[in-house]
Formats: sequence, C-alpha cells, structure tokens
Amino acid sequence: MNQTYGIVAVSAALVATLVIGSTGLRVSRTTSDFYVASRTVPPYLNAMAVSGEYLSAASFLGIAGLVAAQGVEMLWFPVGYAAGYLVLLVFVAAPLRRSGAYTLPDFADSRLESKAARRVAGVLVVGVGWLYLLPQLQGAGLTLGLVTGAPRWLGGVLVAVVVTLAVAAGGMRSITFVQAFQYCLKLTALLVPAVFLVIAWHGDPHPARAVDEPPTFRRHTQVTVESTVRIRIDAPLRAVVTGTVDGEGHDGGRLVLDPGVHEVRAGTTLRFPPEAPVPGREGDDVRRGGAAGWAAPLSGGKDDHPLYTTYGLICATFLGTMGLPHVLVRFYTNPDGRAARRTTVIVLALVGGFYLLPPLYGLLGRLYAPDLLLTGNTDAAVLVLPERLLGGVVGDLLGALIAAGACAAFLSTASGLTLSVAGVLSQDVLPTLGVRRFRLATLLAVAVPVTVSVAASKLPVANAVGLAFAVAASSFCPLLVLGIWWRGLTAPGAVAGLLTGGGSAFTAVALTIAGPLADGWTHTLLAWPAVWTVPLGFLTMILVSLATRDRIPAGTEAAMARLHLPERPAGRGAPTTRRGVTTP
Amino acid sequence: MGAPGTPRREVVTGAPRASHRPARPVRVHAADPAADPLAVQALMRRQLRLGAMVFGVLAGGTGLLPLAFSALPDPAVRPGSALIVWAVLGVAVYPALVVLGRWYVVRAERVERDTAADLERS
Amino acid sequence: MTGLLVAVGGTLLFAAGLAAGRLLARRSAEGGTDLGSPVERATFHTLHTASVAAPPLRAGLTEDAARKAVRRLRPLFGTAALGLTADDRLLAWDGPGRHHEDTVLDRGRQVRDTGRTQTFAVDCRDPDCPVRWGAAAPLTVEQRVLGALVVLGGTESASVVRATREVARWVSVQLELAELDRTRTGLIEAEIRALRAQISPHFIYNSLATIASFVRTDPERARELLLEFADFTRYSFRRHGEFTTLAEELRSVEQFLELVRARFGQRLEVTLQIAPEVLPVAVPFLCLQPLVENAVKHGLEESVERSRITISAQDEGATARIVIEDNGVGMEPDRLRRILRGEGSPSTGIGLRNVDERMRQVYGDDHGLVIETGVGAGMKITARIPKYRPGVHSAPPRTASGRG
Repeated sequence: MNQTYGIVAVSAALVATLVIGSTGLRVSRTTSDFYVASRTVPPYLNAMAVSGEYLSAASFLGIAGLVAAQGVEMLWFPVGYAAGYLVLLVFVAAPLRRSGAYTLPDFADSRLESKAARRVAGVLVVGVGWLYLLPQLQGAGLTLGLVTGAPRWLGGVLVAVVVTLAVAAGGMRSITFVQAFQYCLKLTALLVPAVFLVIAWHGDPHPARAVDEPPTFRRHTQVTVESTVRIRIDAPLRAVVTGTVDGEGHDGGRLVLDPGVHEVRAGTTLRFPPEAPVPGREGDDVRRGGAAGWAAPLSGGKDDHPLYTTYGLICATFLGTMGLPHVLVRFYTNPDGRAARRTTVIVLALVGGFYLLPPLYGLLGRLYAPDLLLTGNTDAAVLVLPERLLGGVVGDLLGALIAAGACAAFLSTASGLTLSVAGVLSQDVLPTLGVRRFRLATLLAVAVPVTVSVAASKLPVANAVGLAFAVAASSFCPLLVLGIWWRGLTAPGAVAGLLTGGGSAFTAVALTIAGPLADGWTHTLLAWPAVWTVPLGFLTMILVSLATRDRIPAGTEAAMARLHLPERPAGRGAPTTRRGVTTP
Repeated sequence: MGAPGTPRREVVTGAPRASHRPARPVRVHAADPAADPLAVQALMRRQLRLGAMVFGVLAGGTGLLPLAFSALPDPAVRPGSALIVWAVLGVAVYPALVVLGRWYVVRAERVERDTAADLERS
Repeated sequence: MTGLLVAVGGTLLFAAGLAAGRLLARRSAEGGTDLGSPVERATFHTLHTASVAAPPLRAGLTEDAARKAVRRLRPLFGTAALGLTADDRLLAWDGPGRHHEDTVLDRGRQVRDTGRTQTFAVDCRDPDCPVRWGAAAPLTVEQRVLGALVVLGGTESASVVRATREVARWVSVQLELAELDRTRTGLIEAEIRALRAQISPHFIYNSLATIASFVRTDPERARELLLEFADFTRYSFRRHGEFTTLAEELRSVEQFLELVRARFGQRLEVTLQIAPEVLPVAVPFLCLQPLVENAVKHGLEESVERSRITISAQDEGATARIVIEDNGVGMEPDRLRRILRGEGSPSTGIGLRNVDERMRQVYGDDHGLVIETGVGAGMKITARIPKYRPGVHSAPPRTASGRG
C-alpha cells in the first residue's frame, strides 16, 4: 500500500472531521433565518448521525474479514447488526425518547425513581462501552499499521490519544453533522472501490474460481507469518522458505511440505507458487468440510456447535443494539417520539444499505488475498484489496480512500463511546471527583480499553463486538423492554436482573477472553452467552419484581402515560402564525 | 474580549439558596387529568400487540432461517443451494427489514392518532 | 457434564441476583452486635422499631401507609393484634382476631368523639381467640382527631395502655410531619409558580406603540408585527407546564427580537449559534427571554451606538450550555451581586434574579447563572442546563385543553 496516499487520506478524514465538528453549528445573523437556525434536527439527518456512530471498525473491516475467513455463516453478523434496529424500533424508540432520558442510567432513574438502579445501570454502561471500545482501538492499530507501517499497538494508542483530546477539550461541538459526515464517508469509502473491484473482477483474465472451491494463490505470493502458526496441508505443497518450519531453519531453500500439520515460527517468510492451494490454520477448522464448508452455513466456523452459535449471535445482536450507550444518546436529538421512530426506520435503511458491501469484500478477499487466511490477518482484507486487484495509481488511491473510511469508522465510534462512557463515569460512578472530573473520567474511559487492547491483541475485531452486544442484550434489553411495557417492574427487580443478566454475560465474556476453556460445549456456551443470559436477565427481573411488589414506584402510572401517550402535535402551544405565511 | 482598552469583566454568581433542601425533590406524580389510565392502558396494549407482531415476524422469519439452511442440500452436491444462502443473508434480508419497519411506523402512528382523537373527544 | 456445570452456575448467579434484590428491598434491619446493658438494648430496639415505622407514615394516613406502619409497630407491644382506624374505616389490621372489626370500629368512633384513650373488654365466643381486651388511643393532628390506634390482647395491663397512648402520640407527630411535608411541597410549587417570569408591562406598552406607529405608514408591516405580538403574548401567558423546550423558548425570543427590532431598526445586531442537538432539551418556561431582554436593555436603551447580541446554545454531553453576550454598558459587579441576592431596587435586573433563582430551584446551586461583567464591559451570561433531571419534562404529554 502506498503510504503517502494513505497518510494523506487519513489526515484528510481527520481534518474534515475536526473542521465540521468545530464549525458545524447553525449560525444566523439576521432574524429572518433565525427560524432556520432553531429548527430541530430532521429524522434523515439524525439517522445519518446514528448510522455514522454505529458503523464501527467491526462493520467496516471485521465483517469482510470474518466472511473471508469463516464464510457465509458470518453474514449473520451484519444481519443482526441491522435487525437490532427493528427490535429497537418496535419496543424502545418512541417511549425512550418520551421518557426524556439522555442516558440509560437516566432511564433507570426516571422510570424506577431509584438511585441504586441508576448506579448499577451506570456501571454496566461503562462495561459495555469498554468492551466495545476494545475492537475499535484494535481496528485503529490494524489500519494505521497497514497505512504507515507502525506497530499494531501504536495505532490504537494514537487514536486513543486523539479521541481523548477531542472529547476532553469539547472539540466536537456539533456532533450530529460530524457523525452524518462520517456515515457518508464510510459509505463512499466502501461503495466507490467496490464498483472498481467488481469491474476488475469481471475483467480478470483468469476466470475467478467459483465461490465453493478451495482458495488458491493466484500468483507468486510471499507471506510473512507474524506469530507462530500451525498449518494443515492436504496435498504436498512446494514453497520457498526463509525462517523456521517444524523446528528446522531454512534460508531461502525450496521445501516440499507433506500433507499433515506443520508449525511455522513467527517471522518466517513463505513464498508460494501460483495455483498452490492456501494452507489452512490448524484450529481454524474452516475448511474441515472441504471447500463447501466456507460457502454453506453451519458446516464451518470456529465452534463445534454451529447451530447454537448462530442462535447465540442472533440473540445478542437483535437484542443488544438497544443497549448500546452511544447509540441511545443520539435519540435524544429527536424532537419527539414520532421523530424517534421515523429516524429508526431510516437508520435501518442506511445501515442495511451499507451492509450490502462488506460481504462482497469478504468474498473478493478470499479470492485475491488468500495469504491473509494463512497469517490470520483477515481483518485487513478490505484494506489490501484495491492494491491486489487493481494495483497501480488507481489501486493506491482507492486503498487510501478505504483507509480514510476505516479511520472514520473507528474514530466516530470510539469518540461516541468515549463520550458516553466518560459522561456516565463522571456522573454516576465517580461522582466525588470534583470539578475536573469529566476530563479525568475521559482519561479513565480510554485508558482501560487501551491497556487491554495492547495486552490482548489477538481477539478478532467482530468477535469482541459480539461480546459487547451479548452483555448489552442480557442487561439493558430486559431493563428497557420491561421498564417500558410492564407496570410491575420494581427497582430491586431491575437491579437484580441487571446484575444477574449482565453479570453472567460479563463473566462468560471474561472467561472467553482469558481463555481457560479452549473448546467443548462449555466454551461454546461461554463464547455465545446471549442465548441463556438474556432469558436469565428477564426471569430474574420479573421474579424479583413480583417478590417486591410493594416497591412499585409511586409514579409508575404517570410514567407510563408519559412514555406512551403521543406528544402534543407540533405547533400546538407554540406560535401558529409565521412571518411570511399570510394567514387570512 | 481581550481587546486592549476593553474594561475587565468580573465573574458574578448569585448566592446559594438559604435552605439546603435538595434541588426540586418534587417528582410531580399528579396524573394528567386528560391522561385517563384506562386510555393509556388500552394504548399500551395495542402498541405492544403491534410491536410483538412485528417482532414475531422477525423472530419467525430469521429465527427459522438457520434451521432452513441446515436442511438445504449439501452444496458439494447441488452448488446452487449455497447461492440461495448468499442471496438471502447478503441481500434480501435488508429490504425486508426496512419494509417491516416502515409498516410498523405507519400502524403505530395510526394507533396514536386514534388515541389522541379519543382523548380530545372525551 | 458441562450442561450440569452451566446449570449450577446459572442457578448460583440467579440466587446471587435474587439476594442482591432482596437486600435492596429491605435495607438491612440488623443492628450491631454489642449493645451494652438490657436497658440500652431495649431502648435501641424501641427506637429502631419507631424509625422503621416512621417512613410510611410520612406519606400521610393512607391505607398503604397504615398497613406498613402497623406491621412494623406491633412488636413494640407484644400483644395479639394491632389496628388503625380512621373515618369510620379500618385502615389496617395486623394479627389475629380480625372478626372483632366491628367492636374496634365502634371504639374508634367513641375515641374520635371524646378524644380520649379508653380500654374495653372484648366478648368472644371462640375459645381459641387470643383477643379478650383492648385499648384505643386517639391520633390527633392539629387538635383534630383523625383516627385511633387500637391494641388488642389477652389480659388487661396498665403498661400496655400507657404504651398505646404514647405510641398513638408518636404516630400523631409523624402524621403532623406528613402534613407539614405536604404543605412544604405545596409551598415549593407555589414558589415556582410565583417565580414564573412575567413579561414586563413596559415591553407590552412599547410594542403596541411601535405597531401603532406603523399602522399608517406601513400597514402590512403593522399587521405582521401584530401577529408576532399575538404569538409572543400567547406563548408568554400560557398556563400549563413549568417547562418547555429550548426550541420553543428560542422561537419566543425570536418574536421578542422582531418586535424590538421594529422599534430600534438596524442598531441591533443579533447572532445566533445553535447546536441543533440541544433544541429538545427541557428548560424552565421563559428562562431565556428575560436574559435577552436584559441584554437588549443594556445595549440599546442605555446609549450604545450599535448593539451586538450573541445567543449560543452548545452541546456539552449531558448538559446544554447557553450563553447570552452583549456589548452594552455592563454593570458594576457589586451592584449585580446585590441584585442577585435580592437586595437591589425592585425595578432593575428583576429578570436576572428571577431566572437565577429558578435555575437554582430546579437544578440545584451548581446550575445558577454565571455572569461576567464590568462597567462598560458588556455582559456575558452563561447557563448550564442538564439534559435530564428527574421530574423535569418539557410538557405534560397531552392536555385536553381544547387549544387549536
């Protein structure tokens, strides 16, 4: 990848963001456009902002990477990410806006009139935010590493510093315009190269292999393995090796690898001839069922129980979207519940439109960047494709555009998350820090995920996001759904449910990341906890609420009326005549 | 404001309130006279039914897909079946979601209009 | 095997959550372990029982409150049953012998009429019924007997009679406190209502005079201004809701400025910088207009050639920051301090003080106005409004007031 173009593109994205952020206020100098300046954000604009904040590094890089590595089964990720908004629409959007709550702890407070419930919700928001920040920083490290050649950890730290400064200094003065711009940038950055890539794919002199054939190297390909891997080979394979394979040192010598499992040490460079099949990584049993495993669902994947895994994913993403703190605060910008609903539908369309693209990149990545399968670095598939498929100046330019889009992806999500986490930290979790608490909280909000991401950089980006969704689904989904639709919810019930559902999902996540259990049912259950933690959260909340029926908040009836009754139509109670409108 | 010659400003704030009662402890629970609890209940029930219906379609539609896919013939035998999966999960799902969402919004707003009209009449 | 593991884990977690909930439900009623002599222990026990029973009573004499209070007070007596009556109704009963309800109600009525404690024997055909005797003491609030506390037991006992009288007196005090609470809440409400800013009569007079001056020269403009004026006054005089949205408040400011401009023409230059995210924020009704009016007055009516006013609303995460700045004559800081303390002459700066006070009232002392000013240095007023505060909603969901 051409580094100059890449650096210029990433810098341009950064500068554009900052410029829009600092000048995006609506300014009017004459009273005649006063009215324009004080108009609330229309649903389409807010929907773009929500989508801009939502489409993270996991969507931009992760999905294509997962599809390239593990196949069609991974298409459930984008489906779930989008469908989550439908669930949010039908159960949460309008009532949440009408509650007047800005954050999830606000909602707990307003509905349950309980400081304890507020606190617990605050702690969970911080947990979910951190889990979600982790993959953003990793995506940043990956992208900046590819663009500038910097080590992985440095990119993450750099982005963390930028985000901290921007958030702590209040640099994002008009977040709606910034995030709407980020959505456009991300969409363009995937759409334009996709058009070129598809054209190039069709014009490829070697007719592209069918989807369901095993991946092969298309030309002489040199692969450098960054960390030690064990590869599985089905047929004898010739390669030029510099480094250590199976414990033996080689220095540019030819080697024929026999069928079986071989260990390739970190730092080893392998050079494969064209048409050679790409060796699979041991443990990544993707190709266990042969080539068909990649193209067909339920036959591959990392886990032993693909059907359960799929349901775990569906459960987490469908129900988890409503519990993402940085998404919910954007709904406050809507003037009323109706606008909140309309915004959500538009988000559904915008996000769905975006998700048509990453699978295409995954597919092309498998065909044209198969070496990534060997190194396990499949998250980079989107970034390297223009260079592989097009090459030349066009490839470099498009690669730079994609890098700028990726930069937008992790910057927008990371800054939104940091803002939410820091807000909750300063208000609900550490309320005694004094005046400077917001800056301290911002620092803390970023420091924890940075540390973890530097320490544990092996987690695939989209997987970590899946875990954040699982925790959100098991804690906030019951709180929101029961809080909005059930009069019987009590503060002790909500607290118990949040702790049980969120806590168990969190424990499962921690065990998965720490990794004491490598496989088997236990591992599967812990890696995809939503299937059992969501019902657990709901059940606890309901049962404890029933047991503490005498603690139903006194304002429940009034709260329900506020949540569900439509607001007065716009214009009532407000002036009805406008200048320029000649009312008879 | 640091222009030379501009007189200096001083920061002034009002005195803290005499009594240290918490700021506005009053959560006014006085029910809105127009918000008849029965009407609210009826509205909630209709909206919940509508929401549950859409959710049911979503859960039924997507929830059964993995099972349906697992029942598809092995693509090694019939390569076409893999294509179906790609078409459904990669493309067809999204317009369906938008249509479902749009339908829900139209219905939910109709329910709200009905309730508003009823409240106005009473 | 693993299924079992998960089941056990789930159960444990479930139990943990349940326990946490219960713990929250009943803030632990345990005392310390080392409490000294039996007398001290008894004193502590009594005080603790009383303190546990007090909170429900502070809500007033409702059925719910009575039920909880009676349940918590019964251990004090160690007798069979405890009842509370009011207005010829049995509000709550704890313990056996509920079939003596009529007798108890009858006694309650007598207590209410006489206002005195009395004891009575209870006739019961059921040999297992532990209730043979009772004492009833009046519950008095402001010299009015609201109801009676009735203690029922097996044998007559002078100490129980005394305890009944004392506990009834204690309950009465709690009820009086409840009454006081209610009054205070009402007072706060009244205070807030009284604090609602009112548009100044000067402004109404000036506006009408300006409009009148246009009637002959530019009737179309006069008509427009009149409509503007009608909208502005309609908004300012509206009765419902203490809060509104920033968007509506800004619209009212716009109309206000339009009317002012009609009077002062090009001498007034207004810049508005609004982050649209904060427009839906709920703000106290008429909290901006007095500040803008103040800025206009400093800028125009007190001699400055060309008055510039900047109104900005910015998003600060959980709060919205509103700044109103003018380049007018400014003010002596000490004088402003006095005005904010309510010591100034009643005619000046009343709007500033009013808004400051309401902000503090609603959001707490951290959210009072911050004003930067000096003589001849203009004035910059900053208000920070939280996006969410319990009990603050921009408007009641829907009122059938028949408007529109």
